[in-house]
Parts: sequence; structure tokens; C-alpha cells
Amino acid sequence: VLYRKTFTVSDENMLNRLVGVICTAYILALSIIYFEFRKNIQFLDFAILLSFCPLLWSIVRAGKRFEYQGSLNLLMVSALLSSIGIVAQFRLNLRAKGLLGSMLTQTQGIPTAISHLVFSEVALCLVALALYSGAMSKMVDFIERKTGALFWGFLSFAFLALPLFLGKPVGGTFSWLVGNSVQPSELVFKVSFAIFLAKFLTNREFEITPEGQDPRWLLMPLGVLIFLTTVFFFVPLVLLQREFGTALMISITLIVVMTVATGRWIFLAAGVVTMVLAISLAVLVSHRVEERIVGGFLNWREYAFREYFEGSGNWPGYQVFKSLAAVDSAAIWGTGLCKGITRVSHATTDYIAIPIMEEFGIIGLLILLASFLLFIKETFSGPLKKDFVGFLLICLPFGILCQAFYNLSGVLAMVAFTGIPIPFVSNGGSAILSNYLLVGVLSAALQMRRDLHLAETDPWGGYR
Amino acid sequence: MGTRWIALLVFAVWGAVIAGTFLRYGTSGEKIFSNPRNKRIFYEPRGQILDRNGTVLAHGDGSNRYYPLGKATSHVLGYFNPKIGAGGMIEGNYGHLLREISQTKYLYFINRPSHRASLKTTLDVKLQRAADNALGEKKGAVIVLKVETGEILALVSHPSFNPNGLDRDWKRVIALQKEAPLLNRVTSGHYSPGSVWKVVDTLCLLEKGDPGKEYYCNGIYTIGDREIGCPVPHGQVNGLEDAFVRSCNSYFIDRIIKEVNPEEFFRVSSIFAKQKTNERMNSQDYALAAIGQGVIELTPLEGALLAATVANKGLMPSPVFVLKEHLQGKKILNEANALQLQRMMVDVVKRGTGRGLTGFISRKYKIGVKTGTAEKRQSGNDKTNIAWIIGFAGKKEPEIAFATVIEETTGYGGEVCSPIVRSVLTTYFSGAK
Repeated sequence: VLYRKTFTVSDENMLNRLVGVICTAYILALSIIYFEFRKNIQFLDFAILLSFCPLLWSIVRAGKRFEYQGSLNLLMVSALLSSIGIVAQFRLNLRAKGLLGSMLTQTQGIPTAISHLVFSEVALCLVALALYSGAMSKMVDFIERKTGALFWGFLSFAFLALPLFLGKPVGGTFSWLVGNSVQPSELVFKVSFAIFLAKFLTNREFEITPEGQDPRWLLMPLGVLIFLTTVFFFVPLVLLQREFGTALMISITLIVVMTVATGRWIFLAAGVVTMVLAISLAVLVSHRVEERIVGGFLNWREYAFREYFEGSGNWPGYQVFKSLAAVDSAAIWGTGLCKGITRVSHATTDYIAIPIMEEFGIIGLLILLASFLLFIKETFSGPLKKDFVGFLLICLPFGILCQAFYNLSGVLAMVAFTGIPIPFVSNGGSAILSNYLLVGVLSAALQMRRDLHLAETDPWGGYR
Repeated sequence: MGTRWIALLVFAVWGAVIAGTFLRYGTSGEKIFSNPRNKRIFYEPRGQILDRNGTVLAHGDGSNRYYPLGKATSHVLGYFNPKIGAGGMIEGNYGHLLREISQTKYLYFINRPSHRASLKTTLDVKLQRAADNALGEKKGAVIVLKVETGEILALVSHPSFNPNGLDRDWKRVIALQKEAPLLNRVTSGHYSPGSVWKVVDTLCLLEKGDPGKEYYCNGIYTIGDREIGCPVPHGQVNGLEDAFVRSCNSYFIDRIIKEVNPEEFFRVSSIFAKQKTNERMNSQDYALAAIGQGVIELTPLEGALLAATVANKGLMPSPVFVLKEHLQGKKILNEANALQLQRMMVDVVKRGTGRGLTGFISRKYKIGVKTGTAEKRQSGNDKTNIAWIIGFAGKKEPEIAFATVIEETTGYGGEVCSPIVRSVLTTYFSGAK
């Protein structure tokens, strides 16, 4: 279905059919879960979750009403991932306070599925409205014309410094605001870092990609970029917030984007070597990083049953062990819907992929991987210019793709894992809003590229 | 191919590696995932445990796990309950063979394991029941194993517990510290072996080359200021075999102290049993060790393996619980010495402390034992005995080895343990093909 959609979703009938398939699968899955666990699930929760389908339908209808000419591909992929997330949260049947929970109740929180649904619906509506009304395109246009890389660097720094003054430490990090519910680093990583990077590359496009120039020419702009990224992003993230996970994601995204944008594979090699050195240094300097690398990645078997010596938690290896034990139980085909044993902590957030993989096996994993690959598929389906929009189309999807792939690699103990949620699927408030904002900006950028391309190839705009 | 398509390819490869890693952990069957401390497995489907003939000894999942033989198999099978975990020999150590992984291959949404992951053990339910009944209310243990393969046929430890619904009874069971019903006495009960250790003494003397020394036992052997004696004066003892059959303490103390280097003695001892030797040991401690007291401690399992080594012509089998499992044995003794020891142990039944089992000799079965009685001090000056029998039996050649120990008794090894061994062997020979 996803494959066909990519090529034919502009066809209205196909779009309707796609929404129909997503909604049918969504309702079916929710119904199975409800009847399986009806003793522990309130009917009201089930009924509220069903509202996702009419909303999705209305958004597609509204696009027609507003005569929106852009593509809804990315919004549909996001909605699909959100629906998977809501179903997974409903299946887990857990409660959390979160942003919505702390607003509505002071005690036990609300079901994570409801929280996920509300944030997804609100974000979906806002982004759809912004796209249909043209506000999103205007905003991207404004950013392109009126702002610079330094502005986004300072803005990001200010956002990242906020929790130091307004937040409280959580798990050794200073990255949360508003009753430990909002994480500014999400917004910074998803949106403002990508815009900063795109702006920087745009301003220096002739320096970065000179034709036939000596590669040493690159050293200067590259040095400036690394310096600015360090000052605006790494310093506040690592030294102030102690948020190593987001810093790592920014590093990976930076390397990937630089490689793709310039077409020089030397960036990939140099980036990997620099990252390895930086991680080695972090292991020597930070005890917390050392724990993650040794206890949660290299020697997880040794730490699988060992109680953590500080606080009430366990070693990272314990969590890795539990996620891999779930994969072991899933084998190839998974245990089947509602048949898994959800015994992984942080199951609704960082480790949400584990219950999905456990119950749906390799098929569930491949659906997740394929869905995220569609983000760059869309970017690559047209010409990529070395202007702001072109670089934005590289920076935004690769950011989200790196995050998803890093999460899936982390929960399978391929890399040391530092609490990075899987976009759209993990429960969250600010994270979901940031994801949809990214999709909105990306869709607007795609639309702008399409308009520009149309204008260049057909200056009469079809009125000849 | 443009850079962007290579980037897409890189991510596709990364995705393939993720999928590959998933498949690796999903199909590796690593033993760590079946560790009893992995709480997930309490909620997973679990296979049946069967005896060697297919009789079901445990079935059901999670809190519905049921053990038809109840207390009779509690220590050998162990327990499995989501509230208290998994423990015991089979449930605790062979969990990875009992987990059921969904084997559905084509019908994706139908979660139905295509086979029951049942585990066939080496146990013989008839022998297990016979050993349990024979032990009755006595505190002690019985183990029977095959001499060639080390397959455990029966393993009983008393006092015991009911593994069915153990979570409801858990607090009461763990509060019984004196009885220690959760303790598997066969594998974890360390007892002074008493005269059973004369098997090891004899091995040491045979290896040095027995000159057939004679000895006069007046019932007391004096070392320094300490007197160690036999229960009765044996009078004239005509060599090693006579001393072994009549279990003369004085004879063995005299010869071991004078002829065997302590290092050599404790080296041979350590092959068969745990010992608490230290540098401050004196000749009195050494004398006590020679008659299986003091620093020497033996579990019933080790006692059965000692007997099995003699019966198996010097090759010590490795004990196994699962029918398909076969571990390589270790060559401990030379065959001639082992056969000579076999003859001595048969003589113990014919004319020594194992005369309570002569009925099997008259039925032309081959049976040899060594009895033992060790003193155990209780509170104050009270003393009780630990009664032992280890041995082997078979129709023509040794087929099985066994060990029986009874705690807190006033009787001697031969008289207390012989009825239990007799009952077990009668069951064995009645069912032996």
C-alpha cells in the first residue's frame, strides 16, 4: 500500500483508498485489543481512540475543499506511523502523567494512548491547516529571506538553556520544562538545527561545493560549521543539559547531511572517526556515558541481572537484556497481536519498538523501517538544488531518519542507546508536536520546490 | 548513481543490518534468555516434563503449572511459579529446553505453537516413587543413577515441599529453617561420610600396592591424647579386604597414617568430595579424615558417583538429567583396582555390614555396597548419627549406582538404610528388562 501510495497518491481515489486501508487496519487492531483486554480497558478510551479515523478523513476532505495543490504523502506516512503508535500504546495499556496528564489529573496520569492521540490529532490538524492555508509556505519563505544561520544558532542556544532556569533535573539531565513534560531539545533537534544547517550550507554553497577545486578549500567552511555547531548545540546539550543522546543524534545528522549535500564521502569517514574519538573521550570523562557503553552495549550479558548501584534503577544492560529477550521470544513471526509480554521499562517511549517487534516480528520491524525510508524517498523523487529549500529537503528527512534508525539500532543493542524515542510512534507531547512541525516544513519545502520547478519548466503556468 | 541514491542505499543497508540483528537475536536461542531470573519466561508457554518412558511429570503454564507426583518429585523437578520464580534441578536449570517458541510459519496471525517443547528426562517414575515411599518420613536423601551413562533415575530429598501452588505456601516453607524443605540434600547436603570413606582409603592403599598387612583391633586407636575407636573390637583383622568388609576404623587409621602421604590422600579425596583442609591440621584430624569424619564432607550425589566409578571399572560418569544429554566421563581408577574394590563391596553384602541385602545375592544379582555411620553433634552433648549406604547393583554386571543417607538417626548405616535400598532395588529389578 505504501509503495503504491508514493506514486499514485496524488490521485484522489487512491488517497481515499489509502485512508480507508489505514483506518480499517487501525479500527481492526483497536477492536481486537479491546475485546482481548476488555476487563482492564474502559470503553470510553476505546471510543475516543476511534476518533482518529474521522479526523484523518476530514483532513483529506479539507485538502480538497481548500484546493490544496501540494502532496499529502508525508502527512499520510506520519498519520500511518501515529496510528501504529496509538495502537501500540493502547495495547500496552499504561498510564503516564506527561504534559496532558499533568494538566488533567494530579494523581495517576492518563492512558498513554489517549495522550498520544490528542497530541497527534492536534498536531495533524495544525499542520494540515498551516499547509492548506499556505501559512507554512509563507513561513519557510520568510525563514529563507529574513533569517540567517546565526539567528537559528542563537535561538537554539536560548531554547537549550531554558531548562537550566525553568526546569528540574530528571535522570541526571537538565533537559525538561513544565513539570518535566516538555523537552526543548526535541524542537531544536527536529527543526531549528535542520534550518540552521540548511541556512549555513546555503550561504556557503560555492565554498562547500566548488567544481574542480582543491578539497583543502573545504577546510575553512567545515571548521566554521563545526565551531558553530559546537558553540550553539554541543556546548548547551553536553555541558549544560547533559543530554548526550540528542548531541549524538545531531552529530550523526551533521555527518550524513554534509556527506549527502556535498557528495564528498570523505565527510562520512572523517565524521565517523571524530565521533569515535569523541565517544572515547566522553567515556573517559563521564561516568554516565561509561555505564551506557560498557553496561548497556559491550557487556550487557554480564549486567543483565545486576542491580544498579545508584538509585533504584538497573544497569542499562538490564534494559538491553529485557528488550533482546522480547526479540528472542518474538522469533521471526512474532507472538501475534495481544500475545506478547510487555516487560520492558520505558515501553511507551524509548522502547516502544520492542512490543511492536515482539508481537509482529520481522513484518512489524520492516513496516517501521520502510515507513521511515519513505521520508527520504519523497525528497529524492525530484531535483535537488543547492539552495535553502534543497538543503532543507536534505536536513529535515535525514534528521528524522537518523533518529528512527538509531532508536531501532539502540533497542537491538547494535549501538549504545541513550534514550532517543522513535518519531511519531513513541509517546510524548513536545516530541509529537515537533515531529509534525518537521513534516509541515518538509511538505511546504517540497511544495515550493515543485512550484519552482514548474515555473522554470513551464513559465506560463499552464495558461498558454 | 548520484550521491543521494547512495545515501538511500546506505540507509537501506543499515535497515537490513537492523533486520539481521533482529533475526539473530530472534533465532539464536541464547541460554541467557532462559535464565530463571528472566521474569518474562514465567508468562510464556512452557513445555511438559516427562520421565524416560513418557509419563508426564509436569505440565501447564504460568500459575497453572501442575506436578502430578507432588512432593515425590519436588526437588528433582523443582518449581515454576510467576510469583516466586523458578528453581530446582529441571525447572531451574533446563528452562531453555522447556520454553515454547511460536513455530507458526505461514499463518501469520494464528499464534499456535506447532509442537510442544516437552523435555524427556532420565527419571524413572516407578523408581522415583519407590524411593520416595521408602524414605517415608525420614530426613535424608536417595539417588539412583546408571553407572555407564550417569543418567539419574531417581532423586529424592526429604523433607520436601509440594510444588503445586507453592506461592500460597511459600512463606510457611521458607520459615521452616530447621527442616529446610527447599534444600536439595542430594546435591547440596554435605554430610560426613563415615565408613563410606573407606572406599577412598582402600583406593589409596591399592594404588600403593597392598601388601596384605594383618592387624589386631582392640577397639581403640590412640593418637596423642585422643582415642578413636571402632564400635566393637574386631580382634584379628586378616588384611585389607577383611578390614573393609568388617569396617575396622583402627586398621584404616593405622595404615593410612603410616603409609599414605596426607597430600596424596587429600588429592584423591578431592576427586570425590569437598573437604575443608587447612594448614593447621594435625595427625588427629588426619586420622579422623581417614574414617570420613572431620574435614571430609560428601553429598549423596558424590557418594553415588564414587560407587558408580568403582562399578564402571574406574570411569566416573557425569550425571545427566536429560535423556539426549551425554557427557564424557573421567577415568579415575585403573581397572584392576576398581574390580578388586567391586569384589570387596560385594563381600560387604555377603558377610559384612550390608548383610541386610543378601537376598539379592541369593537371586544371583550382582550387588555391592559400603555402609557408613558418622556422628553428628547436636546442641549440648547430644549426638545423632548420619547413616549411609553407597553401592551398585545389576543383573549380572553393575547397572546402577545408588546412595542413601539418613539424618538424625540412632541406628547404623546398614540397619537404617538397607530397607530403603532393598525397596528401591526390588522396584528396579521388577521393572528391569
